[in-house]
Amino acid sequence: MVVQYIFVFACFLIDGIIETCFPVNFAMNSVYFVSCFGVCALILTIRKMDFIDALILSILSGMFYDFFFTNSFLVYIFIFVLLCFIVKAWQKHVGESLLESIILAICSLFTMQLITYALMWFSGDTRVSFNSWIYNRMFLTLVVNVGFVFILHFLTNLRDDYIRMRDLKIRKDEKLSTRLLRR
Amino acid sequence: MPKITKRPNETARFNRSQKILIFICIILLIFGFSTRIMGGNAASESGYDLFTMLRYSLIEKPTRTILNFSKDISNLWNVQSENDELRQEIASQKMYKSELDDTKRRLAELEALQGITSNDQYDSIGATVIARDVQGWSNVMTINVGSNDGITKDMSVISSKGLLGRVVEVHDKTSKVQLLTAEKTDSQVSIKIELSSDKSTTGSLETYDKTTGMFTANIFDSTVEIKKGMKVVTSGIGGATPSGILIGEVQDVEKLYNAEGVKIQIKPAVDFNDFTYVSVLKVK
Repeated sequence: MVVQYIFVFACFLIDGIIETCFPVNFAMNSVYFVSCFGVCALILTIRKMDFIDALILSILSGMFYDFFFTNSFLVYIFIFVLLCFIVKAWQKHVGESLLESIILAICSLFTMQLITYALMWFSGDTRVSFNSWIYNRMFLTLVVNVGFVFILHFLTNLRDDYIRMRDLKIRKDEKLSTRLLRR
Repeated sequence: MPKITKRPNETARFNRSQKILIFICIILLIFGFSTRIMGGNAASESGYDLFTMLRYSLIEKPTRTILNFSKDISNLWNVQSENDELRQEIASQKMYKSELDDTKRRLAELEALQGITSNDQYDSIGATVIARDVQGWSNVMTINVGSNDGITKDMSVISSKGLLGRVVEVHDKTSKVQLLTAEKTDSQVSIKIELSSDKSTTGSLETYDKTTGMFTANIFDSTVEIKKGMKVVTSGIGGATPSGILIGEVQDVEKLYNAEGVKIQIKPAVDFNDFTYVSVLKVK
């Protein structure tokens, strides 16, 4: 579980690096993308975890994102917990292949961005039209983050293989120590 | 009679790791509530400063250092020609400085004669942008100067090209700047359009239209003739913003037939995509 937590937080830090290299267009008058490497990692991780662990990871990730990146409070905790519920609801119907991971990531990212846009709209912080939001922000965001899902699919398989190998090693050591005890 | 046996202990709902993590979540939530709801106190400011400086030192500064290093290497070939251009500019700077000093002296004499004061005198405090909202909704950035450096609320912030925004929140070592592109803003900037060398007209900057990428402004005098390409600067009315700071140039003019005034579209002078070094203006 610790490995999964560290993996997700490392992916959020990578988001910060990508954001520094490709800053967000404040004027929002041209096409730009928002890096969601950490969010994609969170989605691909929590679908394999049990519900309590996934919920805790979502809350911690939301707090980390709020404090570290956006200087808000409870906004992304709420959004990430909602994503957790959505992913858990779809978990039974979505497999672990690359295509299904991409579809899950796209749907989750779109939901997350839509909720953020709705919050900003109803609080009066923005008057960007829906068409501009889709064209300038969502399109390239989804395209680029699909590329990230390719990388994350490979990395999460590596991580799961590492966890499996480590667990096998622990069980092997336990078997050996049990045999030694019997003697 | 069947023997009643005690049920073995049921498996705990949460294991040890989960209990520790839930405890951490509760602590962080309490911390978040205490710094947010009781905003403006030292704990809130130090918490914000801590996270901002942590993020800047862990992520942004190393990344920018690497990016700047690679950019410098690629620019090496142009250094010679840039140096020659800069040497010529420096040579003419002395002449410009003496002209400026002479103009300022004459202005001060005239003001003293007429008994008026102008607010175009200001000190400039250099700063670096250390944090921006990752999602880009709030149009607020953080700079690395605060009350310890003499920054106060409502000071204007400029880049090398023109007016960027104003300071909305001040902490000890950092400050938050709201950009002119913010759709939700409490104050409007008063502007001046230079119609000719000795004539100008005033107005106010209203909103920023994200669709067109232009500012919308209202000019109070409908009799003046405003043309495309005219420079728009701050007027200094109100005292918060010094006069003469470039905002942009006129792109489109629309006369309001049923109301007093003229509505203009202004193309910003500043590129809001990317800026690192800014200056905060302290009006004298």
